[in-house]
Amino acid sequence: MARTSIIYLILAIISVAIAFLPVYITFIGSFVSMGDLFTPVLIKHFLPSSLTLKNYVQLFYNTPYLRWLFNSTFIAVVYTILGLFLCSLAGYAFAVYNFKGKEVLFSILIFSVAIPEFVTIVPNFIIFSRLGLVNNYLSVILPFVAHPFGIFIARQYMQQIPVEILHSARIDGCPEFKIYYKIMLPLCRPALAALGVFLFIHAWNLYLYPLVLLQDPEMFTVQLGLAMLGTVLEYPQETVEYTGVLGGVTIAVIPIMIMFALMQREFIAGLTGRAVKG
Amino acid sequence: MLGAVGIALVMSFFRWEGLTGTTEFIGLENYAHLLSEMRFWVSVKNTIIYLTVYNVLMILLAIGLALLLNSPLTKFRSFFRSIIFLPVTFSFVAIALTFSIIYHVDYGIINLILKSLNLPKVGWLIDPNLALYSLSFIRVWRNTGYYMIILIAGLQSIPEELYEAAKVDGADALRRTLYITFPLWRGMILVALVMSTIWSFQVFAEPWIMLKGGPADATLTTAIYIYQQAFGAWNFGLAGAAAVINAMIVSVVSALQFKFLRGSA
Repeated sequence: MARTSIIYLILAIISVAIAFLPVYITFIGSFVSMGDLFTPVLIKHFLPSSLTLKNYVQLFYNTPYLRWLFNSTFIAVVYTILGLFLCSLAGYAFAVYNFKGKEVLFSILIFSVAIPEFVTIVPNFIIFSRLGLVNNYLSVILPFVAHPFGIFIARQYMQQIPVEILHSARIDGCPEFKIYYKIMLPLCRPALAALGVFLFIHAWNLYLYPLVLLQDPEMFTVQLGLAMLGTVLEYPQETVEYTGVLGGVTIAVIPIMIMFALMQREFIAGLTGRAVKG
Repeated sequence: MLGAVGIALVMSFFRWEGLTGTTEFIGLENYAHLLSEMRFWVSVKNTIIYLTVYNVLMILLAIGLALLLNSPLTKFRSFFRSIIFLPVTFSFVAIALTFSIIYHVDYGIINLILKSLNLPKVGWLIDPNLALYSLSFIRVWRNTGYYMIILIAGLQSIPEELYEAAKVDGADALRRTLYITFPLWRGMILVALVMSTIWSFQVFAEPWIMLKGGPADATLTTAIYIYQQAFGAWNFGLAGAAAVINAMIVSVVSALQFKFLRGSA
């Protein structure tokens, strides 16, 4: 009996005091005044004396936060759609066809998951500058759009689809692209859902690439804008207080939370069991 | 992607000054320069300390939590899992901003709690001996839930019959864990560890936003070093060479992990 209560105590401390508390401070911190954020009252009872929406007003009036939200959403949506198309197409090729050099190509693909962002950032900066695409959404979307991890997941899932289905469609004279589009994609819906969440979050949370390639504050993503607001040195402090920055963090985090809550099952199945078994 | 790696490799053999500056072939000079530069080695050392502390703490916690939260004896499992997964929804920028105040030396909640217990305050981010570890902890905070979920999925793929058979043979819970769970779980733990190593090697947002690599280069990571060489000093050749060396280090580290974990037990 004593042992189980110790286990629950540890779990409670880890989950509530460690995992949950910083999230709570961020959320509640965005609804209090700057003075209240650091009062002993908040620390002792974890309840602020008064709540205010002032921080959000400040955030939206004094900074281009709305524009940044639009930029991030646009980038993440386009990236997700393009990424789903390309990853599933490449995954389809790897899963269904036999071609020369397939094994080698696939090993290269797996290896390229391990290439760090800091290796590709300078070459891509040179390429996009030459193309005149700096400060363009495309410069952040294109480098990642055929994400090797995405191709891997798509291939793993498609390999489980019985080939007979595809064969019978072929015998009926169905063109190859139509087989992919009309038969394979609908069968892969759970994997594609998981992949979509993965791609969206990846794009939403990007930092190094936007930092280098999106230099005009109007083109900033939410992450980039928040990082700038939070770094006191780079932004006049009067425009938005730190509580306002916490408001921005809250808004940036909530879509991801909702997405995980809705897609929990698909996400876990797609990224773990099926992806690693094969 | 691979084209970009090729360009990085080519760049590393040139004196390549920004977009408009000179480009001149200089062979291995960039590499020679890097190998003799203290700051480069500091960045490599910092990154390796950072990722060792983070990965060891994170994987041990994730393994422990996965075992606890997969066991049918534990109640409220999905509640605990969701709470522990919650930090994963924070981006690295978000955790940098949140922990800038939590770690704050005068107003941060940790030091306020220490103060109320009459303990001295700790310079989490301003003490050069501590800052790097403080940064490791926040990534542990963010990522443990993610790897815990992956490891739980791994546990659930172990067939129940094996445990039944062991029970019939009289193996107790500890033995069942040691001789059934771990051998079958190892592959999944390995994949998780290699993934988290590769990703943590690239750490950039938190040290850059919170500390700009300071205090006194204590949180200068390789990614920050490369970023500063490329977009601060516009020395693309040197940045390319640093990127190539670090890419080789990542490959060696992950290869060693594979070898070590495959070989042991």
